Amino acid sequence: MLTGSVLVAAWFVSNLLLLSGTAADAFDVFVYAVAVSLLIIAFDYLFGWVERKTIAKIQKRHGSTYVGKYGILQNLADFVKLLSKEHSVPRNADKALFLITIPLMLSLSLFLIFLLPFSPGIVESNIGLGMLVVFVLLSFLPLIIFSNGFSSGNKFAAISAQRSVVMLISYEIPLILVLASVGALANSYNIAGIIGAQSQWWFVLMMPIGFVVFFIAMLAEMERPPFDMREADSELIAGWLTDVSAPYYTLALFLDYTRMFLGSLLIAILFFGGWNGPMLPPIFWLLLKTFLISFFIVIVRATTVRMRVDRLLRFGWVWLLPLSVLNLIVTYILFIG
Amino acid sequence: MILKPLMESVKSLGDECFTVEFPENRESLDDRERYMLRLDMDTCISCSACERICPNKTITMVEVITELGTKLMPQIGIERCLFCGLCEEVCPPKCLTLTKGYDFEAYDKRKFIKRPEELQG
Repeated sequence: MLTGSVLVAAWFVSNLLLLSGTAADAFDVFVYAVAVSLLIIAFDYLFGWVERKTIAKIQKRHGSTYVGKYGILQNLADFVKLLSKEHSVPRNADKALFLITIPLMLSLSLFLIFLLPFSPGIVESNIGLGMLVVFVLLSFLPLIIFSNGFSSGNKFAAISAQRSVVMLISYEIPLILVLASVGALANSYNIAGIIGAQSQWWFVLMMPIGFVVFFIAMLAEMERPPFDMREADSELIAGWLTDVSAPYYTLALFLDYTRMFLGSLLIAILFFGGWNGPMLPPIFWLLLKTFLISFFIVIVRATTVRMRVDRLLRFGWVWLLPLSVLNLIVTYILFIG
Repeated sequence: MILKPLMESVKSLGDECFTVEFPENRESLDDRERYMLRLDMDTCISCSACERICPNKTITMVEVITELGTKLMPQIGIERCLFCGLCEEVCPPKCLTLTKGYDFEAYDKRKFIKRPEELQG
């Protein structure tokens, strides 16, 4: 199933790039897509372990210890256990929609990562308005969660689906407004162009307010605490994943970390200079920044409590939206006008 | 507002863990803590005082074959024991004592019923 999602995403990206006339050879793009997928799967696996250990350490526990050295094989053991469990679909569920949504979300997330270049040498997918394409497709993820929630025929999943839409209207507009200020500052929506514009100063230093708004909105987009109302274990069991059986749940766990990788990668590209850095190869710098941002997100998870869903709506419209508009105005006055 | 808790979280990354990795490492116990019972079969006088005083009716006297013949001695259902120490107090020859051993976990409930032979240190 995981391989299937990777192949579907690779097929999408190679078709899109061939249509846009960017890539010379579909086979090259396909190989690139599979290589990036392997990198992401490695990240998902290892970061799952890092997250477990970090949260355990913050809570003064040991975390996973027994399986492998420092418990590094614990996730593999969990993975095998989940795959060996029974697969079932609830009787009330819309079977086709229920089964297709999680692989579709994973494909879409991988597809978005394929669109983001990892270094100036590996720019298989450097399309003109790349960042806009990424954010348009990114806003489909909550809608797919909405479809999954309603198709499972379960009340907890339905509440989660509603929350998904509420969250979407809370943070999507500030997110796009901050993106607009990044585009204005870089004078480009091309990803390599945005990174190139940060060769002197990172955008996080030029618009700190925009960074804070973007970071909060991305936390909500990635469904990370304190904005994990869709999954909300203590209230909704597992939200839209309540009725998902073990093999699909495994895929959903991969999806969780893939979205985290995607979010951290976007933050690294838009605000921390992407692959810019001294001496070491560019891909190393980009992956290091992505890792550090992901690590910070884990620390935020360990520190904060879940926000109430109505408060998020208020927070989005009363704080994030005015701050993003202010950021746009200040950026224009200070750096463009 | 949020920075202080975040800094606390980062700081606690370097702290020592509260938990220990059982069973390789064990927590050091306080002087007053008491767990598993130990029976000295040689000095037991079969008076049944422990059986009568036990608030949970955990102790039953059972027959044990010794070198000197058949003797009645306490058998303890450790899953119901309060570790209150009344049996230890009431025992005239002080042959029943509470120790600091707490690793008597078992998968089978029947394993918690300890025969006098199993209670010897």
